[in-house]
Amino acid sequence: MECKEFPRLKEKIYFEELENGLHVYMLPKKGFNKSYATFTTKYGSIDNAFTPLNQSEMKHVPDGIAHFLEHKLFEKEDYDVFEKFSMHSGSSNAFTSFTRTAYLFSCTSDLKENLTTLVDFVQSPYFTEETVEKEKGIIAQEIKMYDDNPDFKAYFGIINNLFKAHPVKIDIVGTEESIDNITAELLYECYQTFYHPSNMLLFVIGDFDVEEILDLVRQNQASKDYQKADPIPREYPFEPETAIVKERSMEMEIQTAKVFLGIKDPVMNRSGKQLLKADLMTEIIFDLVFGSSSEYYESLLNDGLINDSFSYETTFEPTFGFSLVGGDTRFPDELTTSLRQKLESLSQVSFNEKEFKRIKNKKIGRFLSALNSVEFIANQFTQYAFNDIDLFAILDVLEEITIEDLTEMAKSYFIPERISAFKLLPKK
Amino acid sequence: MEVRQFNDLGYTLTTIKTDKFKTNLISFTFQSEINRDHVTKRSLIPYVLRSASQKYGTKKELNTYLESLYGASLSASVEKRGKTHNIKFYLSLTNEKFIGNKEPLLENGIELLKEVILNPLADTKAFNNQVVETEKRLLKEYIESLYDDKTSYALQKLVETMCQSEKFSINTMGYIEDLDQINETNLYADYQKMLKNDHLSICVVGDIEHEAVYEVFKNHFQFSTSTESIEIVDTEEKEIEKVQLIKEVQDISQGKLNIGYRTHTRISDVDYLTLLVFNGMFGGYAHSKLFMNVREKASLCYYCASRLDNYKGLMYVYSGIEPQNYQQAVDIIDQQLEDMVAGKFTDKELELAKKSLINTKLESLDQATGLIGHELLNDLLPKPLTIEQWIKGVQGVTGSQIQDVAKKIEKDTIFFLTEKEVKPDGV
Repeated sequence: MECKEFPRLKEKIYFEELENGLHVYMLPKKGFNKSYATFTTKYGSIDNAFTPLNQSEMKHVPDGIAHFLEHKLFEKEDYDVFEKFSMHSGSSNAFTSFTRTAYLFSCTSDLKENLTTLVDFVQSPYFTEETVEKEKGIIAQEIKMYDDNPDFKAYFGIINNLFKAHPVKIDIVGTEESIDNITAELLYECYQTFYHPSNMLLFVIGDFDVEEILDLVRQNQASKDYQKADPIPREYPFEPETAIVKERSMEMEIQTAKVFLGIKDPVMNRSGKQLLKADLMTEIIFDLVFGSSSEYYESLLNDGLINDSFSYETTFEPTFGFSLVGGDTRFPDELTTSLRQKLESLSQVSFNEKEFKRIKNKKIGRFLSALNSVEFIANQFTQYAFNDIDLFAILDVLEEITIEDLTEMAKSYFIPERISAFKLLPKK
Repeated sequence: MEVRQFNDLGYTLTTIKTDKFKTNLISFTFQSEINRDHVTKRSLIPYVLRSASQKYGTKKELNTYLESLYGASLSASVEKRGKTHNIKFYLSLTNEKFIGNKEPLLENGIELLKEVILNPLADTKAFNNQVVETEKRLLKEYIESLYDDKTSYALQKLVETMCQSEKFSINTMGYIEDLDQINETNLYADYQKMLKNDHLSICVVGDIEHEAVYEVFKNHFQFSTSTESIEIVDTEEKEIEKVQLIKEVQDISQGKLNIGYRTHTRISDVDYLTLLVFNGMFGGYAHSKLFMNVREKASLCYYCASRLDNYKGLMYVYSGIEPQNYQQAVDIIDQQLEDMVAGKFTDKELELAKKSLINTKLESLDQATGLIGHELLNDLLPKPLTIEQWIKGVQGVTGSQIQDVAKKIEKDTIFFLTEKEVKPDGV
């Protein structure tokens, strides 16, 4: 077992890679009532073309299957997963993102029993044609719930403006048509490929004895039979560097229009510190230019173009990346024009040292504040670890960033052809 | 964890010492009875105060200062709780221990709250006109945007309909039609009323020294608000002759089914904890009857759950369904409630609900807002409960007590938001 200490953060993290390849991380939190664990596979909605375990041909699977699989793993032949957790004061859930599927629980007692339940239920699939069919009705309603959600529509609207073929453009839950093609056999194939322990990470956080918990996981895994697996060949289609359309709009049963501008990041296969640094630099640039202390934000607010819903975010992963900025507006055309002009001007912009330092301090404070949440630590740590980034290195990397780095980043990132606008408008 | 209360500053100051967090949290709650004529103005006040002060003349300046305090975050909001309308401020600050240089962040934060709450950008009788006009626009746009979130829109309509003749139907955020009448002078008058007549409670949570925090407040916040506490629990009742059915048609793809009930059980009642356990069995969790039957057995929905309002004595059931499955969903939901009344549940269901409730409660204590929440709850109970007593109370609930609270529950109104051109049975 390895241990890494972060004295400044008053945190200590323990790590071991088990024989079957599973990565186990533990972070003790003295005095917390709650323990929290996530068991995550590096498998999300974008992984729809891959070579299945023990096969040699690349295979395409229906959209939304990773999320479907997440639902179906909760179904067992002879017990109810939620009940089993609840009997030991645990509460379980799961989620699927572009790049991950995570199973999790929180509990205030019986950590060992709950941890065993988590690992065992994820590692014992039970799919039948009958239960798969029944789930289609439930997921169809989940799809329709998102259909009625304007924020979700705007989010995928702008992503679809940016990307031509990359599966990031597909709704994570799939469509009613695509999930109709899912079978128990396909689920097993995806499961065998992506739920191999060597593609997974277990994170446990709470008030517990590290040796005791690690022993339990070691024994649990040693009792299960896993053959050695090679890294999974995954395929992503060729993606142009530029945005697919400059502007597009859609109508919906809403009262307030929404506008989002997006920028596509063409840099592929970035990982580790390089990826983290690019992500942090971009976030700092957005804070400086669009943040609530910026001149531009103040002018948009005073001109009546935005309101408190205005926001921005950046997502950088090894195979895709983008930033979004926008929100609700009474003047979708004017806001679109203004945001585009601003974004296009950023490749030439020079940043102010004093403001830069302030934003850096803000990011340090916000990061510390996020560490109050055991959920944040476990989920963010896992997401980063899959991209070879150490979550607790954020403060060091933040401090490394210079104002010249920002200028350089802005110069290469804010390219007019990579910018697109999406408008969600009230139905006339 | 250690809790102290100070009552000699003209308001209630509660300090909670714990080393669980990397931040300190300060909360201010101004409480007054909800009133249709003042609700919109009260909804504007916290945002106007959060906008600008004497020292920080614009949002930009105020936000700049917050950033320089290591990304302190200051939020202003309003909430409706039973009979009351509360204006709230939260300030979250990094604990100095985690940053290299020793800036007195907590003290700076308290000074900032004083500046924001007591020194607004105003002359002796009016706020700054531009600030007020901007916040009026933002409130208007916020209220309008509520229509776009169909799930919460449907719930809001349900409450408006079922409590039509009661004060509880007053919208938390106020009304667009009031905005034209509001100006910097009449808003300022309501702000003065807030300072003078509201009941103020302040909470500080973090790795702090009780006495030191008390001293800072004593130096900065010497002013007296009304010490009279306000009745929060809303006991206004209504005679239900017939269940109301309201249907609204919009161009959406999923029907949003909302059912409102009167529980006739409130937070100050002896069977309050029993009702919490009831809800855990009925619709609070993924092992509850609603989830198991409407979703898992019948595959009708992705979510179906129940939620309580214990200040008012209401329960809401909500689900997203295919419009043509309306009657089937309503029938299954009705059946679950009948089964609860008839005692058709297992010891295991009772046990699961208790364990989940206790788990949720204990987990909430790992958050600063959860710690504050428990203290606020205690102010309302006939006798304050320690966590241990609360847990014991939940564990002691029996099946026949569950049946008793279930019997008291009355269905009041169904609100169904549905798609165009489909006529669901029975609506």
